[in-house]
Amino acid sequence: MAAEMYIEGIGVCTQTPQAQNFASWFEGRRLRRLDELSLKLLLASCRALDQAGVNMAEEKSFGLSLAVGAGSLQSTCKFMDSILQDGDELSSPTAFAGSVHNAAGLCLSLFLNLRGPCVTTGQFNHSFGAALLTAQSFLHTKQASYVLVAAGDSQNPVARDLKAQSPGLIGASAEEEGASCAGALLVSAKRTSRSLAKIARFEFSVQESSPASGQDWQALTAWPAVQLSHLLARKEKDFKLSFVSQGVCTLLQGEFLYAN
Amino acid sequence: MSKVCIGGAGVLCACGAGKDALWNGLQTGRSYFTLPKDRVNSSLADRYPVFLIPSQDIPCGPGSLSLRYFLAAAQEAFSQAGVTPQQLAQMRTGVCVGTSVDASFHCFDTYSRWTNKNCLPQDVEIMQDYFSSSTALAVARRYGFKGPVQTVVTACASGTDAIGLAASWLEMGLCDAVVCGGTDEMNLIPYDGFIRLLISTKEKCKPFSKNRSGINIGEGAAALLLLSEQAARQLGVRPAGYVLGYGNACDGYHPTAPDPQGKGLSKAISTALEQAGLTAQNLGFVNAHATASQANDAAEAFVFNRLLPGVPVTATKGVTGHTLGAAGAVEAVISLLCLNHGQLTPTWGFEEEDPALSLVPVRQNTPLAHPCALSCSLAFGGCNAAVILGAANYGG
Repeated sequence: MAAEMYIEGIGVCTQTPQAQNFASWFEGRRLRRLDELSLKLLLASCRALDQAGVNMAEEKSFGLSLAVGAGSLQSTCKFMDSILQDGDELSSPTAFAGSVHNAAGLCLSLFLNLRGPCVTTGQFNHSFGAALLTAQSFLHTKQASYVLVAAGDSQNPVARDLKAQSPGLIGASAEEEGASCAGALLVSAKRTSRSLAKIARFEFSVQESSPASGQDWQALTAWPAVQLSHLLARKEKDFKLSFVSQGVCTLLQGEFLYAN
Repeated sequence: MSKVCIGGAGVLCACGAGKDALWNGLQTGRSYFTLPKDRVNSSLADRYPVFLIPSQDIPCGPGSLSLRYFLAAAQEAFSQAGVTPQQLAQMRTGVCVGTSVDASFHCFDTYSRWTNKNCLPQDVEIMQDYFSSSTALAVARRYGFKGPVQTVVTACASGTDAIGLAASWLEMGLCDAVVCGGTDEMNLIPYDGFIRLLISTKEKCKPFSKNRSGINIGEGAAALLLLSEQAARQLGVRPAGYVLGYGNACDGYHPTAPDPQGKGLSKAISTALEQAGLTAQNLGFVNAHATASQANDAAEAFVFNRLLPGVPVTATKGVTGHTLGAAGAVEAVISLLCLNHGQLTPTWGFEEEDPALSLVPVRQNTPLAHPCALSCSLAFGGCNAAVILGAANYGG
């Protein structure tokens, strides 16, 4: 079985970031073209790397594993708006390029100088487990010594409105706690002097074959990172995060390493 | 990486439904290349042709087209391996699928009605279907598999990444078997999007040619059944090939163009070779991403000339089109076919050498010197992925 992992840094972004949130790292004008999902992921990632003591300016072969839930809906909707308003022939190429799920991966690799492996996972509210699994794979196959796992999601405006007609409609996450969050973990295969926590047990698999109930949207893409951040702030000794979403179970268990 | 067995493979694309039909198409260059007026509601659809799966080959049944394409390919993979999904459901079987369209909010008609505040009752159902359409999970549910599930959305590298990650699950001992690959269907959003990026062409694409003018998008799916050596023995499966190595690296360069010197691609290839314990001299050929865009083909040629001198290069989008999230998987299956037939097929669409590239892909059926191959993919966002495959007789 795969070995344990260590968390070197945790970052969270709970609200739409403003340019001043990035003042320690980047000039505000560099951020102008980023959509909301990329901004949130970038801020959470900066905070995780900062906590881990990583120099943002240096090029590094860190892996990057992104969990984007439904992806960048802001850019996708913008592209569809441009078709509706201006026609196919004048639709926005910039919005299309930003609508690709992996666009946030480019943003993080560019701004954080990451040049290692990069994979994006998009499977709604069970994206995080797969992204952490990818990180585990990069570490196990020695494609990277550190992997930044960044997770975030976008709100679907159509689902939000239709939820009034169909309360069971999943994805209408506007009013759910934590829906606008992004979170990031920097993980490694070996314990370092700065390790914050040890993930001793990680499981991610289909648990039962029943269809989605529509009632499990609380398991948001960034939820595990946000919870870990809360538990760390509360000086908890250990953690066990377990949730089932659409029949897919994610389990993280381990201990915090306050001795460091 | 230890040898990961390929128990079976399946494919469905414009060049053929099933491996035999695809192999025939690769020999003859025949494929379904057409204007998508009946499939895409775009005012551009009478000018920019694409590679489509002919209507008679489109599988019936519930679920999105992408899901149905993938299930058809997976069924062929199971048949080749001589195993049933029920047998696999008794093992630790995971699903890892790359896609682009199937994981995206491309419900354009619903969105259009919503913007006009004119949603219909059926739109709730459409949205519900969209939110429950996670490709890998849908495949796992169809077959009752209970291992990990992952829908990889690393744009056009998704299919290659899905194969590489699936192999790593076996390597890590997380699974006994993984159904992996990629799938994508024709859709208005990428159709218009690629045209508006000025990457699409009105002609049939010409990979690596001096007069190449852009890409033709396509649709399709390919599936591989990967097995640990122990599971293959237990099921009595004679491997159809092997996954020997996987590498991935990002450029951090540009949203839609590769690094001109292919830095990420070079690193991905080097990692894959290292994992496989091979050098360039051991490769029978490289199956290039070769979209026929100016930037992609130039970056790949630069890397191949530097890293893989003398290794034959082939490109297959001249008969399959660019199947986006499925491309890496379709090309992995094509590579496997070439390996097991012991020959490379012509690079359809190639016309004239581009002196700026210093690369001429294979132009006719060519015997292979070595039983392993490299297949690579480049993606928007600057992601690069490479996988090394071995023939059924590799190491035997």
